[in-house]
Formats: sequence, structure tokens, C-alpha cells
Amino acid sequence: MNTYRYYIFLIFLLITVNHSIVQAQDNPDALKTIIRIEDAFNNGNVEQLSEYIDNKTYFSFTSDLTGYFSYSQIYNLIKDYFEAYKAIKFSFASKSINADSPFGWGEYIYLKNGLRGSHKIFISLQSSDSKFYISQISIN
Amino acid sequence: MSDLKGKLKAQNIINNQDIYSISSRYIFAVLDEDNTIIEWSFSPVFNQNKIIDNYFRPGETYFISNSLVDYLSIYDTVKISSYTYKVVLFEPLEKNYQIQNKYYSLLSLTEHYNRKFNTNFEINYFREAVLSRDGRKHSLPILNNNNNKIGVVTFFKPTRETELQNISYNFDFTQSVLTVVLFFLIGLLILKNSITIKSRFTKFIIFAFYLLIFRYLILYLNITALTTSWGISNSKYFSSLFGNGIAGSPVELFISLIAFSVIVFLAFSYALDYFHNYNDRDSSWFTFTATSLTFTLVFILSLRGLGASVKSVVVDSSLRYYRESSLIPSGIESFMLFNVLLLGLIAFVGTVAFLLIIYTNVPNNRGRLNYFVGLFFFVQLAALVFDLIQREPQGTPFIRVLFILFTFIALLMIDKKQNWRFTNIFVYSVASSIIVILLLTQYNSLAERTSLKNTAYNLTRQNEDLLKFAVQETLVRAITDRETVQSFYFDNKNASSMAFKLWSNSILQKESLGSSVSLLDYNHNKIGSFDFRFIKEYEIDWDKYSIELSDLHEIKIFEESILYSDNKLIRGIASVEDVEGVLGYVTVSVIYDLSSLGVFDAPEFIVSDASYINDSIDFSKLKIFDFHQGTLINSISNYNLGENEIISILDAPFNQYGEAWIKFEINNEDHLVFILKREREGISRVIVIALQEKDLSWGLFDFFKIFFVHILFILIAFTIYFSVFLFKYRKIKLSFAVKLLLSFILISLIPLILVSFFFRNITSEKNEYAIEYKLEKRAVSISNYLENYSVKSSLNLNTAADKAKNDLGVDFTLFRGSRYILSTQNQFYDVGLIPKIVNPVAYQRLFSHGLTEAIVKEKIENYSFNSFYYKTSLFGEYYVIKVTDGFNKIMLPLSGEEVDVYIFISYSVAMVIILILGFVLTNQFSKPIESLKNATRSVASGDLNVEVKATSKDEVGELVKGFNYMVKELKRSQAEIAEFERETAWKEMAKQVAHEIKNPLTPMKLSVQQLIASYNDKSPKFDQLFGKVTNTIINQIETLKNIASEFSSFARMPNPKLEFVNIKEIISDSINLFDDERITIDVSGNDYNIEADRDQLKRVFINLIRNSIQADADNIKIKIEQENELLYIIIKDNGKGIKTEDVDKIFEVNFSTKQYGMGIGLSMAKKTIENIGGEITLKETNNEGTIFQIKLPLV
Repeated sequence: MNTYRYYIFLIFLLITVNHSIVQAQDNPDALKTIIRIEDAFNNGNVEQLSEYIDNKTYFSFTSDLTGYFSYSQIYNLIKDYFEAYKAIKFSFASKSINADSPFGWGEYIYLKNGLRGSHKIFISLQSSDSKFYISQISIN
Repeated sequence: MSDLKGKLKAQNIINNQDIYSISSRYIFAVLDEDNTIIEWSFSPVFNQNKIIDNYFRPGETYFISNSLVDYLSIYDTVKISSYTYKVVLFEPLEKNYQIQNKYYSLLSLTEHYNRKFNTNFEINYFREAVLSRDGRKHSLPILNNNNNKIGVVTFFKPTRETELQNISYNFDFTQSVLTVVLFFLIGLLILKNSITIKSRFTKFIIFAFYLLIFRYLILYLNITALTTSWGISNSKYFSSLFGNGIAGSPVELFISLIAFSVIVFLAFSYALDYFHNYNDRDSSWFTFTATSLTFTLVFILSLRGLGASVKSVVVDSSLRYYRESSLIPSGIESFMLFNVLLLGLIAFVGTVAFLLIIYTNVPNNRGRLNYFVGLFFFVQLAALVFDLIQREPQGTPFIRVLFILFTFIALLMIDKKQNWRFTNIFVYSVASSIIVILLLTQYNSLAERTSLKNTAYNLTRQNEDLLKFAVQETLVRAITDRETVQSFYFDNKNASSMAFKLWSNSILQKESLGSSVSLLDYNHNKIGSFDFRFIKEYEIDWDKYSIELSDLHEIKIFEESILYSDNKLIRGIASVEDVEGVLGYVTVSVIYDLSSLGVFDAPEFIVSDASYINDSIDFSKLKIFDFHQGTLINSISNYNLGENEIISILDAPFNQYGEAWIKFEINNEDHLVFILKREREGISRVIVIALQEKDLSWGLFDFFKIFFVHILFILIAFTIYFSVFLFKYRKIKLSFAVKLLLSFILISLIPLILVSFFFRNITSEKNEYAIEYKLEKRAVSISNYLENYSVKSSLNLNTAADKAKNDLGVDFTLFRGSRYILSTQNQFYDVGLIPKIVNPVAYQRLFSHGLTEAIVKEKIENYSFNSFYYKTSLFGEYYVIKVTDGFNKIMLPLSGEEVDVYIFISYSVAMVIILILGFVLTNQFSKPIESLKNATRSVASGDLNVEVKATSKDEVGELVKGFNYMVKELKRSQAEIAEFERETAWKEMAKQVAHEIKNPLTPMKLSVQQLIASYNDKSPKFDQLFGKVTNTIINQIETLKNIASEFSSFARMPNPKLEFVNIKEIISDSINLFDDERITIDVSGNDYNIEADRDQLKRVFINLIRNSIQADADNIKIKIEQENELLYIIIKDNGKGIKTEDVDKIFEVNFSTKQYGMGIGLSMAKKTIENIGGEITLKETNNEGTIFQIKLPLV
């Protein structure tokens, strides 16, 4: 009896793992990209993030920093953001890697003037030339 | 408060105009003994019974809040006659909401202290607030003027880390500034010691290197952090990754351009010197070819660099110079336009320097013009070939050709003029401005194309995920906000205001999503809400969800379909709890509308700027069409697409990303059209964005708008320069031509400006009248509609009002007396954004002055609009109907902005015509004056052969004729006087000689006669007498010899006064006497000192120059060279030369080829040179010119 349960468990495990692998293989690039972006925000690393910035990206932060910006502008805006709000921790609380527009959002914990705070960050991706780029960053 | 009380006592309370002067800063209200508001300022935002906190006594300050805004308040009583009134004043301190658009202005005392003390402050504006027990914070009570607690302020204790960070920051900054100062002083030291470096090229390299290091030092030390609060260091306005950050923001770009401009101007002055020193030398063909190829390539690369830089200014910036039709650019736009002008000037001056170097090395100076033309075509051809091989050429062929043309004109200006003239700098600046504006215009057109694409993507950007995130984020914020909890506790908290506050601080407002935020009590009854583009039918139905949500302790998000629509609602709900349990609920609903085309049905003051995300074009100029499954379901346009147009859209050649570009006509006007095809949720959607191509008038407007800004910068620079010049030299020299031109411009400008103002004012008045008329019509229609319904049906007032709005399409508000009854846009009244009371000025006119209508200007935030108040009788009572153009825009035939555009275009064209005509006329009028001036100088220097041509028959022509006659008479008189003097001198001399000779001859004759007599008489004293007579004769002969020597000395020239003189200075002084602009006299070579008579030497050069001019030369080159211990001065002209038969005689006395020549010029010159140990020789002469060489010993 125990052996049967063991086999059933194994089969169940195999199916689950396979499903995960299949799911991951559905959009492995999107998942990789999301993870890399999460890591970049976690470390406040603008260079790493810049690999996924396209030439026209929607960026929304404060009231006067909202709109479509070029690569150079986004690079410097995010650089300024990381300098003003030093990264302590970031992780995606929710992410989706469906084929159309992968996205994720999470809480970015920062240190500013010795005090901690947090911003909610929403990021969506778009595919271009078989690579995923950030189409939108909203910081609130 | 004392001031207000004084004003009230001085006049009646009612109709008191003086008290409104306080309204700009404070909000006030006056209550009668029944606590009824009888006088109020422009924006009271309190209901009657909540206006005073009776806990505090009169004269005490306290905090009071209406959820949207926290105020500092005070009330007092004032007794007038036998009545006691209460006067209340409010000063707003903190806005608790924010609207993301240009009309919103932040007001936050907390934020002010956060910035000031660099820590987090929290202010609780109510007296019951408790002090914080958080050990990390200081918490203090806020006391009023009576030492009563009115609030609490809490802030984080400065941590050691923060303090150290602050100290470190200040220290670093001081260190940086000191480093920059030190480096600057090093630069001054280098400048001082560079005088010993002979090579200009080496000096240039050292300075260029120094400036580059200085530039990177400023970047590395982050000195521009000083400008953070000015916005010019904000990367959003401009940011490029070029040079590792030296163009990372507008201010960084500015500093880099200043450094580059200094380098380029140094290089230019080096090239200029090189040109002046070596341009008359024939170079080898190899040198010419090598410099041509090298510097042509550098020229073309510079032009490409300029194009790429201007493109970056457009693409890497959020500034859009052509989007608004406003004439006056903002501060940051002006700053960037100045940077663009500097860019153009650097490129222009640099490329002219390259051309100078090429042009200096022409192989044959005699055919310079041919080389000039050849070089021009060569550079044009090379640039064309370069562009053809580029994948993406920068600029257009027209700009390329124009740029090269301008640079060659600049080269010609330098070749023709000796000195670096002021006009050159002005011309270069204007030429640079024209080029960069053309580039800006071209790249802006590309940006407009891109922005069509962005608009299409933005309209399809919203997806379910974003909306769910928006709902989630709003709910999280709501349940963690202390004030949300309080709104359930305190009755005086306005729950609708709370809902608005939650909505405005969330992504819902930022994205202008059709949404609703509601607060529900414990029993799920709505206690307050705020809706934005959200119809009542979409409100949450608790009966449907009550079972699932009754025991809710977490955030729940779910979807709900909308009947008969592809749209759906995304809802979220969360419970608001405290230690006692659930107090109530917050719900957020968002409409997921696949066919949304943006926000056009909402008032402008509440819509986020982000929703007009087309960054290059005014959104209102776009025509947008939305197709679902091939059928047009929505559009923003006055135009209906025809069948053929729909077919061409749906069959457009889409690329792999579903994008297509086409062109077609709409209303007989060409339109550029971008089409985006997307599949979402199984629905095929095609978005069409069309933009009308700009016509000539708009093109001109765009060009001149920026051109005049550039001209202003150039004039400011020149004014600063002239001011310094005036300060230094105490005078400004303006020529007659310039004064005349300035007078023309001034006289033409005044009527133009007057006409512009007049036209503008007339249009404004007409527009105001049109607005009043239209608002009045609307108000009357509503009044009639409501009156009809009150008679004919049993509908209640609210229902009748909704029907009126739907049928008439106009929003309105109803007041009874001054009191608010209802509004079709009630959500803005309920939350407190618009006061629920009639405008006080309108109230006075309607109820005190007895008028039936009043129009006033009102504001929400900084959004201005017109409100029309109409007093009417409804249902047997007096009501006031208010209609505004804030909710329902009024289209005017010609707006104020459009008038500005048309006036500006006309004005610009008129200015250009005035300048061209003025320039032509000025030259015509000043030419004879200029000729007279030059002729007078020539006469003063001794040349009486001048004649000025008289081209006109007016007073100036008469003056010229008179001058010519005067010169002829002078010449004739001079010749006569010279002849007479010569004759007189000779006569006198002859008389003197005769007289002097007679004296010794007489004793000689007597002595010989005596000797003859003695010989004849055979006198014994003959021998003695013979000796005496011979002695006498010898003495007299000696006397005669002395007489002859003295006369010879008399005829000799005066002795020269020898002194050390600077040869270049003497030559310059001589040249200055010849100021005919047709004649070019170049001097090259270094300064040398020699020993000579200054005046005599000057006369030598005057003589030689005059001879050249008289030989029809218009180009004279004087070169000074040293070889060993000798100085060689070569005087070369392009005159008609000396005849071969005269060559040997030119230095002879009395030889002249001129009719009135004295024939002593060259002979005297030769004498003068020889007297100081030098030599003057004729080296070469032919029909193309003559070369004299003077050799002098150096000191």
C-alpha cells in the first residue's frame, strides 16, 4: 500500500514538475527578464535594468515625471531615482508571464535621509525583435 | 483679523468691496447672530454649522479640516450698531489630495518642513491627537496663542547615520567647490605663463586640454547639484548618454557647450592668424590636396555631429518647442533653446576654421577666386556623397547645402576684410540660428510622427493587469490611511471628500481611469463616494455580493461583466478595521473599457496630464478612429470617414508589429495617418491616428517663434558686450548707416505693435461677449426646461435636472438664494472642490443690485473658467442657475492664442521685409556720406586727386558736387601757391646771392684797379701793393666760397630726429589715413623696433600706398620679415604697374608720371631710408602689380 502511494506521489510530482517546466518553457525569456529586472531593482542597479529599456518607454513617478521618454532619459531618470531612494529590498508580489504582456508589481523598500519608505512599482513588458523590453514603469 | 474687523466696521457688512481684498490669501466668512453666513469670500468650503469650532474662544487660533484641506482658523466677534457678528478667517495649510495636471499647485506645510529639516514630519491637525510613543520620533503638542493644544507634530529623531550623512554631504560639497576654485586658479596660472610659449598651436592644445579636464572635473564633483531646485538639472527635460554624462541634463549640456565654445573660438582665432600670416604664400599642390581632403572630411563630420546633436535635443527630451502655440517659451525651454543656439554657433565657427586652413594653402594666389569656387563645389559634392552612403543622414539636402553656403559666405567675408569685425559675429550667430532651427523643425516632424505611434500605443496600453494593480494599490492605501479610519469615527468628516482624497492620490487619477471609490458603513450603506466618468448603473450591488463579502478581512478583487458590452468592471473591496473591529468598507471600481479613446468628457481641471500623453502634438489636433472587428465604433473627429477611406485603412500594409503608415485627404487637407492593429481578448482592434500636415503659415510661425528667441539672446549678448565696452571706453561708436537702420526699424515697429495690441484687445472683447452670450442662452434654456417640467409633470427636481442635462447636454447647478440645491456635476460639490454657495460678487449683483444675471471668473486650483449666474423664478421661488464653460467648453471662432499666432506670423514677415528694405535703403542713403568721409580723409592726407561721384540730385548730390569743386579749387590754388612760392623763393635767393656776391667783388675790383695804377705809375710800392692785393683777392675768393657753401646747406633737408619706433605701428598709422572700403590693405608679420625719424618714415609709407592707389590697386599687402639682423618690408599691390621705360627713373628728383606730380615723393623716400642705413628697391612690376622692398637694419 505504501509503495502504491509512493508511486502515485511520484507520478503526481512528475506531472506537476513537468507542468511547471512546460509553463516556464511557455515564456522562459519573459520569466528570465522579470527575474533580472527584479534583481536590478533589488540592488539599485541601473546598468542591469538598462538592458531592458527600449527607445520609448512609459515612465510614471511624480506628477511631473510622467510620459514617454527615450532610452537616455529613462536611464538617467532611474539612475536619479536610485540615488535619491537607495534600494533596500524589492520583490515582485505578483507577476504574470503570459505571452501578450508579461507584468509584475511589487513593493520597493528604500532608504532616504536615513529613513525607510516604500513605493509600489508596476512593470509591464513587451516583446520586440524576440527580446522583452520594459514598456511601462509606474512608481507610486 | 484686526484688519478685517476694521474694514467691516468702516463700511456696511453687506456690499463691502474692501473685504474681498483679503480673499487672495485668506478665506473668510461673516455670520449673523443666527449663525447664518451673510458674507463670504470666493472659496468657502465649509457647511454652515461646521464653520466654527466652539471649543475655542474668540480670538484663539485652532486647526480645522474638511478632509480635503487642513486650515489654521480664528474667529472673533464684531459689534456694529446693536448687532454682534462673528467673523471667521481660514488660512489653508495642507492639501490632502493631489491632481496630476498643470492646474494643481501643491500646498503642504509638512512637505515644507520635510525639506527644510531633511527628515519626515507628520502633523496632526486636530486637538485630540495623541503624542507618538515611537522611540525613534519626537512628538510635541502644537499650542495656539492661548497655549491650548490644537494639534501634534511628530518627526523622526535625527539618527547618527543621517547626521553623519549630512555632514559628509556638506563636507564633500565644500571640498568639491574648493577643488573647482583651485583648478580655476591653476588655469589662470597657465594663462599667465603661456605668454612665454611662442607656438600658438601648442598654446591652443594646452588650453583645450585644460578646459576638457575642467569640464570633467565639474561633472565628477557633481557641482550642478546646486541647481537641483531650478529644474535645469532634471534629466526629463533633456538627457543624453554622450560623453559619460557631460550632457546628462540641460545644465550639464550648457557647461559642456561653454567649454567647447571656448575651445572652438580659440581654434578659430588660431586659424585666422594662420590665414592672415600665410595666405599670400603659394603652397604646394600636395599640401593643398592633403589639407582639402582632411579638413573637408572633418567639416562633413562636424555637420553630421551638429545634426545628431540637434536630433538628440528633440528625441532625448520631453520639451516640445512646437506643441504649444504660445509665443513665450517657458524658462527651461528658453534655456534649452540657448543651448541649441550655442551648438549651432560652435559647429559653424569650427567649420569656418577648417575652411580657413584649406583656403590658406591654395597653390596659386593669383587665381584665388577660382579656388574658392572650386572648393565650394568640392565640399558640396563630398557632403552629398557622404550622405548617400549613410544609412540615416542627419538633416535634409536643403539644410546641408544651406549650411555649406553660409560657411563659404563667412569665409569670403574674412577674405575681404582685414579685421575681425563685430558684424561677422552677428552674421555667424544669425546663420547658426537659421540652421539649427531648420534642423529642430525637421526632427520635430519626425517626433510628431513618432508621437502618433505613441498615442496609438497609449490608447491600447491599459490592460487588465494594470487596472487590477490600480485597484489593489488604492485599497491598500485606503486601509492603511489613518484618516480613513477617522472618517468612520467622526461625523464632521466628509466621507465623499475622503473618497476623493483616496482617488486623487492613486493611480486611478494619474491614469484618469473611469472609476469610483466609495466608503460604506458597517451595514454596507454608502456614506460617501467619488465617481469619475462612472455611471450610477455601475455602482456595486451589495445584494449580489453580500454573502461572500459579509465576513471580509482581506482585500478581495473580482471582475464583473457589463451587460451588452465587451467592457467589464474590475472591483475591489477591503474592510476598514481598528482594535474594536470592522468599522466599514472601502470599495474601488474601475471600468475596463476596450474602446476607450481617452478622456474627453471630463472637466479639464480633474483630468491627469498623463492622459494627453501625445508629447509632440496638441492632442486636440488629432483625429482618432477606433475600429473593432472592422467596424468603426468610436471616433474623436468632426469628420465622417468615407467607404474608400475605411477600406484603405483596413487594408493598409501592416508590418510584423501591426503598424502601418498611410496618407489621405480629410476635408481636402493632407493628413499623415498611423494605424495600429491589436488583438486583445479575442477582439481585433484597429486604432487610426491622423494628423493634418502643417501648411506654410504654421511652418513660418514655428520658424519665427524660435528665431526671435534666438535674436533676443544675440541682442542681449551684444548689449552686455556694448555695456562693457561703454564702461571701458566711455563711448559707443555707431556708424551713420547703423543709426539710420535702427531708426527705420524703430519707426516701423511702433505702428506694428500698436496694431497688434489693438487687434488682440478687440478679439478678446469679442470673445468675452461671445462667451457671455452663449452661457446666457444655455442658462435660459435650462430655466425654460425646468419651468416646463415643473408645470407639466410630477418629476422631482433632481430627476428633472438629470433630464435637462441629458436633453440639453449642458451641466448646471441650482441655488436657492445663496444656498446650493443640486448640481449635475454634484460629485465635485460633494467632495468640496467647488463651494456649495453662490459666488459672492455674483450674489451681490443679483440680490443687492437687483440684476438678473452676472458673469464672473472663477477658479478651481489654477484652472480658470467663466461662470454665468442667472436669477429666475421656478416653482414660485427665486432660484439661481449657474452654467460654466469649465464643464462644457465653448468653441470660439478665433481664440486668443490663434490671434497671437496670426499676428505673430504677419509681424515676423513684416519684420523681415522691413529689415531687408531698411538695409537696402540705408546703404543707398549712407553711401555718398561714406564716400565723402573717405574723400575728406584722403584730402587731409594730401591727396588732391580724389573725386566723389554724385549719383543723386538732392542735397547730398549738391554737397558732393560742392566738395569736388572745392577739391579742384584747392588743387589749383595749391599749384599756384607752390609756383608763386617757388618763384619768390628763387627771386629772393637770387637777390641774396647777387647781393652777397657783390660784396666781395667790389673790393676785388678796387684792389686790381689800384694794382694796375701802381704798375702804370711804376710805383716803388708796387711789390708791397701786389702782395696786399693778392691777399685781398684770395680772402674775397674765400668769402665767395663760404657764401656758396652756406647756400648749399640751406637747400639741404632738415636733420632727421632719430628714435626707437615700432615699424608695425608706423605702418598701421599710415594705413589708417586711407579708409576707402574698396581698398584692402593687409599687414602681416611681427612687431619690430628700428631707429628712425617717425614722421619721415611715415611719409615714406604714405607715399608708397598713395602711389599704389593711384595706380588703381585695390589690394595692398605689406609684409614684415626678419632675416638675420635685417628687416625686410615688402609692399605688394595689384595695380597697373610702372612702365618699363620709367623703371630706372622713379627714384630721380623731379621725375613724375602724374600730371600734377612734384616728382619728389620716391626720391625723398629713398633719401629717408638711406639716411637710416636702409635701402629701397623696386623688386618687380607688371600689369598685375608692383612690389617694393625696403631693407632696414634692426636695433
